[in-house]
Amino acid sequence: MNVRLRQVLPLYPMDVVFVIDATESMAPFIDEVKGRVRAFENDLRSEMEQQSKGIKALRARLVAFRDINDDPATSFEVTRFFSLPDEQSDFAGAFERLETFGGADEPESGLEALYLAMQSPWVREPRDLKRRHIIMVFTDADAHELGAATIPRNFTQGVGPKSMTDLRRYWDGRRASGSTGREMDDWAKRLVLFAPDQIAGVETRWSQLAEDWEHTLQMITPAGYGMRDTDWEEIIRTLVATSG
Amino acid sequence: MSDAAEKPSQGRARDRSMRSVEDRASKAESEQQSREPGRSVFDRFRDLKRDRIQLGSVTYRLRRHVGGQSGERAGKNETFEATRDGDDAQVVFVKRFRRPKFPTEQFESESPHDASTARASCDTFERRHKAVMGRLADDGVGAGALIKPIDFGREAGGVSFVKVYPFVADAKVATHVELRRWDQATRRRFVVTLLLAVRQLHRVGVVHGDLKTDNILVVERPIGPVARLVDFDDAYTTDASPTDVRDIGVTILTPEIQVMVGAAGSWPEQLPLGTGCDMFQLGVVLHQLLSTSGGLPSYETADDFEGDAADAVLKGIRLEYGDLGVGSPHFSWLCRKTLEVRPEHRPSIEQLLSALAVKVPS
Repeated sequence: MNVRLRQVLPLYPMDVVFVIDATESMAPFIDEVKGRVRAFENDLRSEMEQQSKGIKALRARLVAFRDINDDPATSFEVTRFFSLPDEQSDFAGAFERLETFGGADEPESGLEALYLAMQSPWVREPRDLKRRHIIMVFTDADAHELGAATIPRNFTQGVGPKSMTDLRRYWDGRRASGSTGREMDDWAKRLVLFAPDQIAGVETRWSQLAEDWEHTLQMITPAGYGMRDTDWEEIIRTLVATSG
Repeated sequence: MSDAAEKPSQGRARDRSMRSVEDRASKAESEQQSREPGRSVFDRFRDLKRDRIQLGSVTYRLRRHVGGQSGERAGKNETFEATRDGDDAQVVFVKRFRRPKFPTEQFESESPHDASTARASCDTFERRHKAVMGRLADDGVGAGALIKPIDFGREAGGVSFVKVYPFVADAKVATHVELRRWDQATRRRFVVTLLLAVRQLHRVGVVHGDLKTDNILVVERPIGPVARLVDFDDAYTTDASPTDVRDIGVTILTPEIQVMVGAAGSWPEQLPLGTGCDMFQLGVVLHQLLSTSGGLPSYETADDFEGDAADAVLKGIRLEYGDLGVGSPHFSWLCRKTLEVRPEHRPSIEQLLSALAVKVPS
């Protein structure tokens, strides 16, 4: 048998959902991501190894959102999970096709997008307790209150959350009515919010989530500035730090 | 401290109607600040806005965020260097857990059944931590090498649990590089202090649950470097139920648990939760620190195999120990035995100590 010395690393099967505000002000951030996303798998693997972790399998998908109240037809853009690195080009292509428009009247439909992300068909290898279901939200705006608008039927078969309590129930593991996805595992889920903490002195709904929800952290972004100061390395390092 | 932390039970009435695009411009200054040279990528972390955490009647003033064990934020909690209010000289580490979270009053009123489930999770978490802390109060041989938590509870007026550990001056994480520089007597003394710490835990019926090199500190004493064992967040008592330790999750993955989880397809109702878990993890740690094959556990295997120590053992692949440099071939042999698949086939901590000619009063 061909043998060699191998190092022991804990290996994580990882599903990552990028939930991105695609309104006009976010153009600087999305341009940054478009230029770097092809290296996502490689960059993530390198950073994981720096922290003595390994990737067993990696899938990623994109959930882009704008504002249901502006135009329901363009309010969401959702891809399937892409297996990386095999489908790296398809994954990067989804970002490259993403256009920024609308959103002049903050807030946006970020909480509905978060719900769609939670409904993802997560990896459920029951024998692997190291699996990670990670949602990363990127926005420079607050989110609309839930319940006032309905998610278009082509994005979800369910009714969708009618309140923050509804949304939290789903995060806590209670299935939403009509949900098409699989539940997020209690020990696998992580929610990372790159979002403003307050706007005009008022706490955002994102900060409320970060305070009250389990397995959730928030990196504060300035409101309305397209997350110009958030670079790719910060995203990768945060993702790895969160996976532990 | 944020309003949310101070008043979780109050409704978060807000008025967003006055917001406009102009409001966004007010953030230009903070954007400029965040671009300053030398800024850490984690400087924007929300919890850094806190300056204090209150636990019962005690206020801890936060001095800086120090992240997880490896210096970055860990997945399960945030750690701060802090001082106890009124005593600037006493430096402590304050950990704020990301899970579980106590339900807010609003959540209680809108979803009482789910809030009840959340409260039950909090009760289980609290019971486990307090049971361990109660047993750590025992002052037997080896207890001095345990850096015991000094405070624990739910943040006053908040939803998160907080745990406080003493700060250990001049301590550093143990590494194989450092241990290899030591002579045999020094290595042996360090290992003995580590084993005595684990023995004390097992004697009082506590399983550490997360033995790894990051949780073993080196401190200099007049007799030379000795070990200190830290981080009892994943510890549990040997009579805990599988439900009580369910929230710990992945850190207690040993071959026997991995086999049972694989067979059940989920968290089993019956789990081997005895001290054998620690013995497996201790065997991996001793390999990392003392063996000559590298800082991370290494093994000879076919090219297509990847996994951690538990995966390797289940595949029949053994870590190579060789001479561990503590002057006892029998100790090296016992260390190899700590990686047996079945916990009852692993040596006890007393056997390891005996192999180093250490006699401890019962």
